[in-house]
Amino acid sequence: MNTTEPIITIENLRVEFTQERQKAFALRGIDIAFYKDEIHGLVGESGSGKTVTAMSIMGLLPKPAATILSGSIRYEGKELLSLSEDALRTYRGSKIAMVFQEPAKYLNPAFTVGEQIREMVMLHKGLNKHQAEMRARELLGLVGLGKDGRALGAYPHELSSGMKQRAMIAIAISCDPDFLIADEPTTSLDVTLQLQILKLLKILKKMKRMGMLFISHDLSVIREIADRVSVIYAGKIVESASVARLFEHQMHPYTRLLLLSIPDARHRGKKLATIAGQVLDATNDPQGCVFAPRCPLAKELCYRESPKLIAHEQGHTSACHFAEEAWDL
Amino acid sequence: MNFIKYAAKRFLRLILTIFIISTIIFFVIRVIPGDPALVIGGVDASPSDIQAIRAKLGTDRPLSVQYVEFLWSILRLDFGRSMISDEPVISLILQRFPLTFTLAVLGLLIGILIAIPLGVLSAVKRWSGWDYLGLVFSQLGMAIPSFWLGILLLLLLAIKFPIFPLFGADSPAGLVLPALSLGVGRAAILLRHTRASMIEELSKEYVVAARAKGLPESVIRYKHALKNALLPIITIAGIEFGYMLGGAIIIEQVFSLPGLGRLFLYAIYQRDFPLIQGGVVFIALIFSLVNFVADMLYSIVNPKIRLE
Amino acid sequence: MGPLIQCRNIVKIHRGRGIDGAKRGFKAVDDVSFSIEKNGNFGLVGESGCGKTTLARAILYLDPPTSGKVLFDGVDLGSLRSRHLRAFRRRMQIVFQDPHSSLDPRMTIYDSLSEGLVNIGMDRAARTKKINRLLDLVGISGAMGSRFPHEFSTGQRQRIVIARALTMDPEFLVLDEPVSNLDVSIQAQVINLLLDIKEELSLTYLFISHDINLVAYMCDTVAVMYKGKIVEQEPTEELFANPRNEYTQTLLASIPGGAGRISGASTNIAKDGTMGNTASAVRELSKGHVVSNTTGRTGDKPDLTGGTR
Repeated sequence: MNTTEPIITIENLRVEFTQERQKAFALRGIDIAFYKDEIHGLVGESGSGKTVTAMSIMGLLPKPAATILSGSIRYEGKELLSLSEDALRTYRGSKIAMVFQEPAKYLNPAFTVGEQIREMVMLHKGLNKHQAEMRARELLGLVGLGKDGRALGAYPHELSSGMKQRAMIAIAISCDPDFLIADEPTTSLDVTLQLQILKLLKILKKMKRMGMLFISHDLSVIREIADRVSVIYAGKIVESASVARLFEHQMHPYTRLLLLSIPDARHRGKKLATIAGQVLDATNDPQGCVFAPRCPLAKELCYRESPKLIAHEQGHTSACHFAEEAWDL
Repeated sequence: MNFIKYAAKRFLRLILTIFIISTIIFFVIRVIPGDPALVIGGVDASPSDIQAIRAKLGTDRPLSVQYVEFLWSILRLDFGRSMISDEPVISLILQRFPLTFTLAVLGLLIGILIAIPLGVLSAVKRWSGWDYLGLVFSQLGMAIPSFWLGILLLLLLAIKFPIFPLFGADSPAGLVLPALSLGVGRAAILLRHTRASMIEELSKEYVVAARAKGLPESVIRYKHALKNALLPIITIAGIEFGYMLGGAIIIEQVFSLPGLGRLFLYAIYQRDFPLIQGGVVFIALIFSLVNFVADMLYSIVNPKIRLE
Repeated sequence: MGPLIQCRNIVKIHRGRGIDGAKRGFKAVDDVSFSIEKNGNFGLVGESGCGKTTLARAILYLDPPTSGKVLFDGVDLGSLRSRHLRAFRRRMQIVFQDPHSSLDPRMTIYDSLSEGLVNIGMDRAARTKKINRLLDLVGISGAMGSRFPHEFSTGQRQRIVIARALTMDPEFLVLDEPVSNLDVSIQAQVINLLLDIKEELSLTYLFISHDINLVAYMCDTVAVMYKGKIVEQEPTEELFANPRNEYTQTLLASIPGGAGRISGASTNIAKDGTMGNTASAVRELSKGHVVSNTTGRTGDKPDLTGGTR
């Protein structure tokens, strides 16, 4: 559906963590492509590999715990994984920027919001102090922190949680990045604030024509903001489609069950669907499908052979042997 | 606005601390067994001599009267007159104080100059050569008594290689070795705190965010993390400074410097009670004042404290 | 069936100072009255800091209300002496959000569950039987009783906390954000469990959550709390179909995944593109109800005066 070249392409990315001599598979070979002017939602439960994906793109996986076993991450055709730390730094913040979940922790408490913006535009855009000040003022207006620049001199603790997240967004977009990663940016916020931040991100994406990776555990938030959505489970992308398509029709049992397990007033009195058992242990490396042990439809083939992420109609991809079959859960 | 409120509150606490310390000193000296007059008079003194000494000390009056007078005298910084030289205690102290104060300031400066760079380097390059150097330094610094280090420095740098004078404070060079022996031990403690504080800050989330901004590692360490790491160090440095004033007493002895330490030591030898009492109160006052200043400094540097 | 819980004009004033050092006598709960029928499932929804947890603690007399009455089965809890109050407390239990901090990490599951039973003098054989039955009820094998909390997943731990709340055979359970820390698939398991045991043991629930969807699914009556007051209370269907209070409307409009509000707002902006409008358009309160920056009623006001006091 998108004919232009992607900004970022991830292919067969496999990441392993070593902790106390135990090996854990964080990503078991994922493929995603991100496009300009598109919000790509990545949804999954805790430990499924959402943040590891983000950190891999940023080149900020914790060392030496994490090892990239194989795969490639290309930014406009250029391989990021082979770049030196110094070369990568010129991308971080300027081309690819990131917004984190808890602004209270990810903003530096000892510096004003203005300083945290200024240092970035002075570094990447080569602005002088005065220009940086003007730029910071403009950005704060853009994210709804007032055009009079009062927030410039504020320390993070002087802002409410919603304002902190706006400030962090201002920092992230300060160098006009092509690609923005938002890792659960509204999870720590109240619903009314959440909606405001989602709207802000959507507006900024349109204005700046950015590509965006929006990470969330919450399918309804993804539905609200994303254009395309990928579902990740135990370090594998199990399904990917446009938002409209995915919420209409699921081609992986995990996605279907996830949707059915969301409580909703319309289903009152009816039992919620549950997914039996526990998430696949990260130290396990099964031969077959990662979801098979919990899948109500699993057959012998599912344990024997790992399904590939295959494209079906309308750009809908699924990693299920029985994606095309009409199953009922 | 909030800062003034905080400063005022902190100042009230300072006054209260001084009041409590004074009270403790008063009762420790008066209430514990042993009449100072007897000690001063010695075995040969006649009862009338003792009475005269008591009158001079003021210890013949009721305790409550003495207590009120004592507090009033502290307010006026009037600690009476020396039993030996008959000069006002406060002027004796103020004559000697500048030297001791300079020594402590230099000691703290040396301590900070060693501890902070080495502590930061140890934290940034953990388990590297620098870290082990810092570790060895802090172990030794805490283990070696400062007077012994002083003697060692004298033997080496004043006698074997006579770079610095053997004693006296006639030239600034005379203060280098005493300040060094004073600073090294305290630097060891500051270094450990700096290392721990820096390691903690480097593991915080805002460091990850700073990396995601594409900032060079040096900026992340020496701007972002360091500012946060140094905040608690200010308070510790304040306390260390107080210790250095106390430690100077011994070091002055080693280097034959005419500072407060020597004054108090002789006062003890000569049982000069007003001078001893005045000295203790004075040191306590300075100690509280230094901590007050450190707290003020901390609240100015740390934007967060003004809310708490 | 009459009401099991009746709250009359509950006020809770926090004494001492708040975090900012200035708030003295902050009214966390402001004149709240409601009642919960026997076997009822009463939902309390509101955003962080609205006073819902304070209210729950006041109802259970863990932190007695500053004024107002709580009647449990017709008995005024405020009139009871502490010994009698303890007896009543057994009949009402609370389950908190975080199962990690509510279980003692050094106690086995069996010991955690038997504490209350030992206090009432139940003998060992009866205790074991009861604990096994409860663990079985929440889907944990009785054989796992000798394990420690860290050997369980977060979802399992929350089940154990629920089992512990049931040891004293309570009639009334306060569930304070019981599934907020859980992943979606695990959350569904615990919700199903809560609904099952409610049926099986004829329990009465006060279900507290920030998630209006969840409350709407669970409860038959919903009360919306805002700044210490209950601003609207209705049977669930009625509240959703016909919200009268402005804040309730805002809250309902904020549910993500709803009827495409964002796309509507953003097209306006994209055409216009100026910064001033960006900021103000973000303050759309509900569908078609756009409020300018300064009059936005929701918590995140752009002026700094509130923050820098």
